[in-house]
Amino acid sequence: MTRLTADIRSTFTADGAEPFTVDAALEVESNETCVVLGPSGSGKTLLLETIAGFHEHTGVVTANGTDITGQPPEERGFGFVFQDYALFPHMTVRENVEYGTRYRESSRDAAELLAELGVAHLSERNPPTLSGGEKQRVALARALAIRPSVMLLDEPLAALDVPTQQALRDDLVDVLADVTAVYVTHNRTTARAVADRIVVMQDGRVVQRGTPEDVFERPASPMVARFTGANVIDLSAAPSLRRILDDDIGSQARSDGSGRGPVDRDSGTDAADHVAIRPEAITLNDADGDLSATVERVVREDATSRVTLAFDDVTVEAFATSPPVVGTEVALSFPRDRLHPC
Amino acid sequence: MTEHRTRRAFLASSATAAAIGLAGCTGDGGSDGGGSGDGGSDGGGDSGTPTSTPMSDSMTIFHAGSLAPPFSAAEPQFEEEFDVDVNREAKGSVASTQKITQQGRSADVLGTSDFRLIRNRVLPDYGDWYAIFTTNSMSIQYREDSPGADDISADNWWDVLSRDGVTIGHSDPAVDPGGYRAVMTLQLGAEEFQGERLYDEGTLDALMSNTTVPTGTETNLEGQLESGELDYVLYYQSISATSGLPYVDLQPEVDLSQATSEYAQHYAKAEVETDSGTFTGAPIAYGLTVPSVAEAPGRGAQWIEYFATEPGRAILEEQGLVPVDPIVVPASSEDAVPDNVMEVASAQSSLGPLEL
Amino acid sequence: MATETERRFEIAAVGRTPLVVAFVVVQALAFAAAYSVGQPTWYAYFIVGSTAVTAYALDGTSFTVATATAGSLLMVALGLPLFMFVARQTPALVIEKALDPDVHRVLYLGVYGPLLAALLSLLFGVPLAHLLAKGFSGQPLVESLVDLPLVVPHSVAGIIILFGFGKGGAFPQFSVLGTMVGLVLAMAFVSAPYAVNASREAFEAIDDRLEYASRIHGANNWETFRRVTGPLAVRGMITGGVLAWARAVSEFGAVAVVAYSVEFFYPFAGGTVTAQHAPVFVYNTYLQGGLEESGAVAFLLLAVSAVIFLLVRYLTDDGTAGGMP
Repeated sequence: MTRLTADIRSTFTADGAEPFTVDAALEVESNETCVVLGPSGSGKTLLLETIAGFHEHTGVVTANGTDITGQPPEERGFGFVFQDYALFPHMTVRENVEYGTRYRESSRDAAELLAELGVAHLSERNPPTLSGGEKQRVALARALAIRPSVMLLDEPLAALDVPTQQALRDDLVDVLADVTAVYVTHNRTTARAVADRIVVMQDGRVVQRGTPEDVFERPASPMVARFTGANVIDLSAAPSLRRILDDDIGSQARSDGSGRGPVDRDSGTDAADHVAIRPEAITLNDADGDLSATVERVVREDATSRVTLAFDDVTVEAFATSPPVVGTEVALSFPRDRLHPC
Repeated sequence: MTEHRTRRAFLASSATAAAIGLAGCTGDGGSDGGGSGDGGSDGGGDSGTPTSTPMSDSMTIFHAGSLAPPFSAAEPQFEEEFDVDVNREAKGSVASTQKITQQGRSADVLGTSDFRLIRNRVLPDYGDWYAIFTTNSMSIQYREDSPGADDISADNWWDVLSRDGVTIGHSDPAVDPGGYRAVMTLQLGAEEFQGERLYDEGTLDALMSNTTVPTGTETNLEGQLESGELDYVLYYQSISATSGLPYVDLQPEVDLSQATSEYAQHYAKAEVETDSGTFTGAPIAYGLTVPSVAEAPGRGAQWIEYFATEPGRAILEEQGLVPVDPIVVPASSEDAVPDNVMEVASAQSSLGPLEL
Repeated sequence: MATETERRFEIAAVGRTPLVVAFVVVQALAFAAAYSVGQPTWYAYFIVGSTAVTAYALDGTSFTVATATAGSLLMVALGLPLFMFVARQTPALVIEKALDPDVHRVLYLGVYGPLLAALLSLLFGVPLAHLLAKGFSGQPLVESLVDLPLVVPHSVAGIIILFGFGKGGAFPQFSVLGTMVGLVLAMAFVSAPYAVNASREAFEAIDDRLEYASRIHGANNWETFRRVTGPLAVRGMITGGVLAWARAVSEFGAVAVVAYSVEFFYPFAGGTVTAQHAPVFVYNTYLQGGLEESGAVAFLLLAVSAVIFLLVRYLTDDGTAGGMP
């Protein structure tokens, strides 16, 4: 039930490295999960650790309106799940989970938590003997045991294999539903799954914030678009597409007189050189479509195939359940409402 | 087949190693085992005839700490004049002696602060003669801010030193001649000489209760005095006079400096019991010898002759010692004394009550 | 090259302990034989050779044989003088010394004084080690100061302590000369670097995240040290303490200047007695009585120290003995 705001400005110097500046702000409403998405080196872990109170900074962190900037970490009442678990090797699983409970008036029962997360049978074991997934569940239990006002998670799934990731991700979605959380990741699938809001970071700065749909459908820059897995098309290299979009604007203006469309002259194709469109939005047909493209590569991925297509001087990716043959021509359709300048 | 090759190579190399080992071993097996084989006797090592080169171009000297100042002052001149490289090892008198008698080491000169060490421990197994070449005297050293420093003089030192709370330091009588001599100095103040004595038994008791033994050799006493932990220190005048700190020149009847019969008889009234034996008071007579295990005995004799003659004597005086003129050798070993030394020495059978 | 990993003996079948015992017995017999014949040099060759052969037999790779052989050379340098020292002791003299109450006092002081010094070094050294592991500005200055006692000649160290503490120094009300306080100070001076450096390495080996994890879940700095950092660094601290203790036991120069004879409380006599620190006593015994007697006392000191080392290692060993057979 905690509303968290953080406005962090700080320069970090690791030994021998260049100084790195983080200048980012975020707001998380009660019980919301805010995902900080970005590539390695974007400063997201530093941001998270600063919110936790591990680093000095100029700026303000508030919880429910109270300024907690000066508070030491042990007084903030946050829970933290680390990428490499950080379980205490000299204590049993149960002792790990119960670690913080003596400092709180109200806490959760360790046995219950471990059972909920499916690792009750490991209660008397020592962390070094556990598998990655088991360790992360214990780490999660440790953080939840203190009934944290805010959960801070730093890429908790990154060190796990794919099936373990999927299982744990599902559990995380359940667990994070009832608590304010800041979740740092570079994985867009995870971001999509757990986020109520997303903040995209690059080089220590926020480059876009919004709902998952905002970020994935309407990326603010080519970098965000690529990082969320959308196609970025340079219109100056794709004259056929540009012609189609210009025609659209013309006919749109004629039909409803508004002169505006999702992609139009003022905020549209002239001003922005790039447009973004998600692969799943592009449809492949044999004949009818906006333009035709050559199939360059087909890669099988689980239930579908990712197809790389080339037209003009650009390539785009799309999905197809029955993949075409490499080298053939197919027709592509671009739903206008899925095209976004960036 | 690589298996056989590896094995064969290994066996070949180990056989070679063993062969080399055995070859080397027969060469140095003889002298290695010496010290370990016969543990019992206090001789220890083999005292066979080493290859001696009387006039080699380097020489070794073991000597007492209080001889370090004059010996180090003389070293450069001696080296130049006689074209020889001098290697000195300054330790305690006892330690220097034991290097020869216990550890089987050899030196060309042995110098101790008490000739009796040479007479009793070095002769006859490790040496045939010795020379008494200089004397010293005991004195009291102090700091300018020692308690009573303003009052103290040769006429009242026992009063100042017997005051409450004064700490007098001297070295350990059990391991250092300087230590037992310091105790003797105090004892002699309560003995009558020519009908008079400096103080009574009560004062002696007070003095003794103020003494402490903070070290095994006198080399540490000066530092301990300067650090403030000791107020007064009893050691040789050769050290006091050259240290830069104030000192008291003591009366001859207590300072063990006079090598005459009358004084020697008086000194003999003092007796100190220690774990390593009972010592009787005697003039502080330093001894020099060329041990029989010396590798360059001719050089050793040159060194002793140097200190029996003018340049060496001058250096001794500069460093606060009192040279004996001429140096004295025991009459019983006159034949063993090298010619060049005998020329500047006088053979005697006793020094006062002391047998030579 | 499958031959390199071929085992010549099946270890599992024979078991480790009997092999170790057998090896030690063979070494002892070889040494006794070489010594009694008066050719200890043969034994030196034997150690090196037998180690190489054993390494080859148990492991077979050239790397292991080479490292084992190199190691055995060092063992020769350390072991041969010690074995020969033990061999030349006369049992009657050793027993006589072992029953001598003076020697008992000296051995007691020789273990007890260094223990106090080690504890003192740990008490103040562990916090310093923790700070050094964390890092602070001007750290190189402190590090150099900590390491300095390692290079100071020992008698100079003694003089430094006399001038620094006690009547002429920082605390004129207290005398350090010839006191237990002076003894422990002198020992702590020379042995503290070991305590600090070993503890510091232990702290540095602990992952920073563990401290974060402890803090964020509610433990303050004190609690974090008590529950996480401390327990994880304990082994390093003990090693540091043992090294400091050992260094203090063998200290001669500084102790001879500061605390030549010490008055201390001796529980077996129920009062204060005076004795010298063991190395000083051994040297004085040598000056007075010769190599024989001092050797016997030194032997007893070595034996007591060896027992204490083994005891501490046994008690603190965590049983991880992997690696070579």
